[in-house]
Amino acid sequence: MSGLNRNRVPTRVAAKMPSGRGRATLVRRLLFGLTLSALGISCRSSNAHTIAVIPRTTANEMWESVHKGAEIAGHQTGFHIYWNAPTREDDIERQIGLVDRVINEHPAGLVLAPDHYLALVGPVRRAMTLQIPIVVISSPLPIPPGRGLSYILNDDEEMGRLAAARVGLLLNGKGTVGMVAMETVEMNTMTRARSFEAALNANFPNISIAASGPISNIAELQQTTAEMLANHPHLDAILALDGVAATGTLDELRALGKTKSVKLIGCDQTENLMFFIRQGDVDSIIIQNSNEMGSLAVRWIAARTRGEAIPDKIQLPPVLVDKSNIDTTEIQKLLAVDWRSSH
Amino acid sequence: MSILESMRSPYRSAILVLAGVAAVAAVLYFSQTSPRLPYQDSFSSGRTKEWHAYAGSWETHDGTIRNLSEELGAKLLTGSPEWTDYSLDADMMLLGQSGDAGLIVRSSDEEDGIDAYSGYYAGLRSPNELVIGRADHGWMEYQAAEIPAPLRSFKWYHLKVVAVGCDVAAVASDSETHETTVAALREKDCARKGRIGLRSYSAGGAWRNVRVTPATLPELLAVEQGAKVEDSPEALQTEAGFSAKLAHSIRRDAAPAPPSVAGRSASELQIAPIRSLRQMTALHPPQLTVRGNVVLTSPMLYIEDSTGGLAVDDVRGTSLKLGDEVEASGTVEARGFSATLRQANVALRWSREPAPPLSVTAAQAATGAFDGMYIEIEGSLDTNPEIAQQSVGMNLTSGNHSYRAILSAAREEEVFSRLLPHSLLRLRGVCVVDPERSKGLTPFVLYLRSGGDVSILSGPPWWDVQHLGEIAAALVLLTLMGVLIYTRAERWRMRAVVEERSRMAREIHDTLAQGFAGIALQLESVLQKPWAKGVEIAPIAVACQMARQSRREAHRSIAALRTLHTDEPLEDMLRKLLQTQIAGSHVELAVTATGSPQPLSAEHAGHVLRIAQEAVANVLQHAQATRIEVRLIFEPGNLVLEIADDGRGFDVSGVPLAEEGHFGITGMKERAATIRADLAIRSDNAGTRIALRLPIPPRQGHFWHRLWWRWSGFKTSTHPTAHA
Repeated sequence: MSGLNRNRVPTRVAAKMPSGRGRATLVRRLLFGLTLSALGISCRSSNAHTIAVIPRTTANEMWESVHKGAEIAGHQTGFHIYWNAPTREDDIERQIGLVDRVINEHPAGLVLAPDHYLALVGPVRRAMTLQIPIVVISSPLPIPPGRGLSYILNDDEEMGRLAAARVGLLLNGKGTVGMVAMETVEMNTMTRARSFEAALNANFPNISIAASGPISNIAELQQTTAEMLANHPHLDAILALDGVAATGTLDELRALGKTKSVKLIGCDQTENLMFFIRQGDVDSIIIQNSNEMGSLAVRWIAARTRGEAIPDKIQLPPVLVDKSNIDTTEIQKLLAVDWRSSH
Repeated sequence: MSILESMRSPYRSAILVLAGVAAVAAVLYFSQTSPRLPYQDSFSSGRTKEWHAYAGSWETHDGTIRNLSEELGAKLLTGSPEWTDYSLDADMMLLGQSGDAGLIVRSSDEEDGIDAYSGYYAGLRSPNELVIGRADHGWMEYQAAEIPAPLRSFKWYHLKVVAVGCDVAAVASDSETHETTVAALREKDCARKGRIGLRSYSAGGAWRNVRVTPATLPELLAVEQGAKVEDSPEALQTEAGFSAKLAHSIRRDAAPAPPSVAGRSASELQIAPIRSLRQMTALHPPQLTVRGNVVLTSPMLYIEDSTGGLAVDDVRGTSLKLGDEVEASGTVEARGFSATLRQANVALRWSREPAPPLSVTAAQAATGAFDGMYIEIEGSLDTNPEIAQQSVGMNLTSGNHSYRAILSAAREEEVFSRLLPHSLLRLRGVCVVDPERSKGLTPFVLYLRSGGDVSILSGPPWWDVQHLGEIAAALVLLTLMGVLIYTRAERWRMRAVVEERSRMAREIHDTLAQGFAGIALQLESVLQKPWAKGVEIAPIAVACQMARQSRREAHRSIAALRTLHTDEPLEDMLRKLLQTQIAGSHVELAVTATGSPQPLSAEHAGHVLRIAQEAVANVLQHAQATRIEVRLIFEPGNLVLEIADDGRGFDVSGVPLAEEGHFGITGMKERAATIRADLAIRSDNAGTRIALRLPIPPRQGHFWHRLWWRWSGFKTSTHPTAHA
C-alpha cells in the first residue's frame, strides 16, 4: 500500500520483504513490527490528504487523460493523488485487491473506474461503510448513488446516437454497417450497441446492421471481421464499440486494403487510432471526456471533505473526433495525457 | 542510596545488553538487506533471491534472467535504497516485436502496476528507440533517441545508465556494429537515491552481466558527450506530438502490414474450439489448427481459448511468451479430459499481455472442465514447500480435494521460504488433469508461472501444535523470568531491611543505650554519696532504676534488630534473643523446635520474635517463674509458637488495656493481628501458656501461591521494621 503514503512500507511489499535470510528473520520481524507501529501512527494524517484514483488500467491514453485531470485538480485543491491500476482492464481480481488495500489506508476519497459491473460492488460497499467518499467514473455500478457515492459517467447512449448519426451521414441513409465488440464485463458497450441500434432504426431504417457475436481475443476479431466482409461484400462501414475492437478491426482492414471502402468508426480513444484518423484509415473515433471525469471527480471529493453538497450523478457527453476537428484546441485538450504539467 | 545503587546496577546491565543486542541486530539487518557497491550479478548460479519481482514471469537460464511474459511494466528489483550516484549496465535483448525493455535506476516506492514506482527508466523500444524518462506512479518520457538500425528481437544489446546528481544518461550499443545511441535527462526535483531494476513493457526481455558501480561526474559527462540533455518531458504527452512521431516511425519502416486472415476461412483452416479436441478419436488422429493465448511456456507449452486449453508438444516455430496469441497446427491426441497437439507448428498472431485467470474452486478444477486453462484457486498448504534446484512443489488441500502446485524453471524467490504449513494461499496457474502429470495422486496439478502467482491470504492458525509449543515455551520463559525478578527483588528488599535495622541498632546503641548508661552511672554515683538525713533520695533511686530499665530495653531492641537475619533459622534467632533477655535472672529457658522448619519472611520473623520477647519480659517481670519453655512447632502451612512458664499466673481478663498505659499484651495482640495469627493466652495458678498460631506465607518456589496469598488480602507492610 505504498502509493497512498509514499513514505510507508507497503503491506504487500512488507509481505514480500526482500531477501529473507533465515538468521535475520526474527530481527527483521521485530524491527518491522516497530516500524509498522511507528508508521501506522503517522500514516493516518497524511492519507487524509490523499485521494486514490484507480482507473481500469494505466499507461493508456484514455486513462492517462483521467490521470491528468485528477492531478491538476488535486494540485489545485491541495490533495495528493495516488494513481495505480491493474495492467489489464479485465483483471478484475487485481482491481478488487487494489481497491481493498486502498480502502484500508483510509484515504480522503476514492475515484474508481470499475473493471466489472458487479464484481466491484463488495469493495465499494465496504468503502461506503467506512464513510470514504467515492466517485465512480466512466461506467456505473448497480448501487444507487448517495451515502457518499456519486457517479460521473460517460453518456454511452449519446455515444450510440453519435455513431448512428455518423453512419447515417456516411452512408447517406442506405447500406450495411457491421458492428463488432470485444466480450465485455461492464455496461458501456452493451448500452452503446442498444442505443446505436435504436437510433439507426429510428432515423435510418434503410441501413441494416451486421452484428458479430462476442469476441474474446484479437485473432477471433480478425477472423470475425474477415468473415463479415466475406459475407457482406457491400459492407459500407464498421462500428467498433471499444478501443481494442477498433484497433483489431483497423489492422484487418489495413491488411485487406479496405480502409478506404469500408469506413471505420471507433469508440474510446487511443493515440494509434487518432493517428490513423490523420492518415485517413479511420473515419472517426467517439471519445469519452475522461480528462474532465478525473478532474471533476477529485473536485467533488474535495468539496465533500469541506462539507459541501455534490451531485449524485452526471453524464458527460462524448465527442466525435474526425479529421476536421482533431487539431482543434478543444480536442487536443481532451486527448492530453501530460499529467505532470500540474507539478 | 546504597539500595538505589544496588538496584540500578542490574538494570543498567540489562539496558546495556539490550542496547548491544539491538545494535548487533541493526547491523546484521542492514548488512543483510543492503548490498554494497560495486554490485554484480551474472545469474550463473541461478540464485536470484535478492531480486524482487513485481509482476512478470522471471526465470534464470544459462547465465541470463528472462521475463517470458508480455505483462506491461513487469519489473525485477534489487540493490540498496540508499544507493545514490552510480552506473548500471547490462547486456539485454528484446523477446518480442513490440514494446520495450530496459533498466531502472534510483527506484523506490515500488508496487505492482505498470508505472508503479518512483525512479528513472531507460529502455530499448521497438522499432528503433532508446527512451529515457521518469516514473512516479505515472510515466513521463523525456527523450526518445533514434537508434540507427531497427532493433531486432533475440539480439544482444548493451545498455548503460549513469545517474549523477540530477542528471541521468543512457547509452545503448549494438553488439555487432558497436554503434551507440545516447539519451539523457536533467530534472530539477529529482529522485536522488534508490535501487536498480530490470523492466519490460509488453516485449518481454532477457538480461545478463548486470553490474553496478559508483559513478562520478566525469563518467556522466563522458556518456552525455555530444548528446542533448532534455530538461523537460517531450511533447509525446500530446496527441499531436505522438502522431508526428508515429508518422515518422511508420515512414521509416514502410508501414509494416499486420497479419491478415483474409482468404482463409475457419473451415479451411480447420480451426476448432479447443474444448472440442477432447472428443477426437485416437484411431485417426486428425490434423487440426487452433487459436489461443499462451498461458504456460514451461515445462510445456499450453494455450487456451474461451472454450478450453491444451498442451502443445514438439513445438516448431517461434519463441513464445505468456499472453501471445498464436495459431497452432498439429496432430491431436486426446486422452480422457486432456488433449495434446503434437508435432505442432506454432505461429505468433498477436503479442498481447497475459489474460487474467478464471477463478474456480478445487472441486470445479477436479472435474476436468478447466484442463489446460489458466485458473485462480485457493488452498491450504499441507506441508513446507519442496524447494529443489530450479523447481518448487507444494501440496495443497481445499475442501475435500487435494492438489499439487508446481513451479518449474523457478528462480529462487523469497515468497516460498515464507510459506508455512496450513497457510491459506491463492494460486494462479494452469490446471492440468493429465494423470501423467499428476501421477494419479491428485485429481489435478497446477503449474505456476512465477512466484508472483502465489499470494498468502492468511498465515497458519495460531493454535497449531508448533505455535502452541512456542507460546508455552514463551510463557515458561516469562514465568521463569518473573520468578527470577521477584526473587531478586525480594533479596534486594531484605538486604535493605537488614541494613536499615543494623543502622538503627547502631544508632540506638550509640545514642540511647549509651545515654541511658551514662545517666544510670551518674545517678548511681549520686546515690552512693553520703546524704544528710531527711533528704528525700527515693526519686533519684527511681530515676536510676528507670534509667537502668531503659538501657536494658534499648539493648533488648538492639538485640532484636540485630537478630533478624534472614538466613538464620528462627529457632536459633529465638534462642539467642531470649537467652540474652534472661541473662542475669535465675529463670531456666528451654527452646525447642519440631516439624520441618519453613523460612519466614523478615516481617513475620520480626513479629514472632517481638511477641516472644514481650511474653518472656512479662514472665520475668511478673510471674516469678523458674522455667520458661518455648516451643516452635512447624506444621504444614502453619507455625505455632508456645511459651509456657511455671509462674504464679494472672487473671487474663484483668489485664490493663493500652488506654490505661499498658502496652504489653495489647501490643502482642496487635502484632498477631498484623500477621493474621491467632494469639491465645491461658493462665492459672500453675503458670501461663501463650500460643501463637500463624499461617506461613509461601516464600520460596511457590510464585503463584505467593501471588495468590497477596491477592487474597494478606497485606504486608513495605516497612517491616516499623512493626518490628
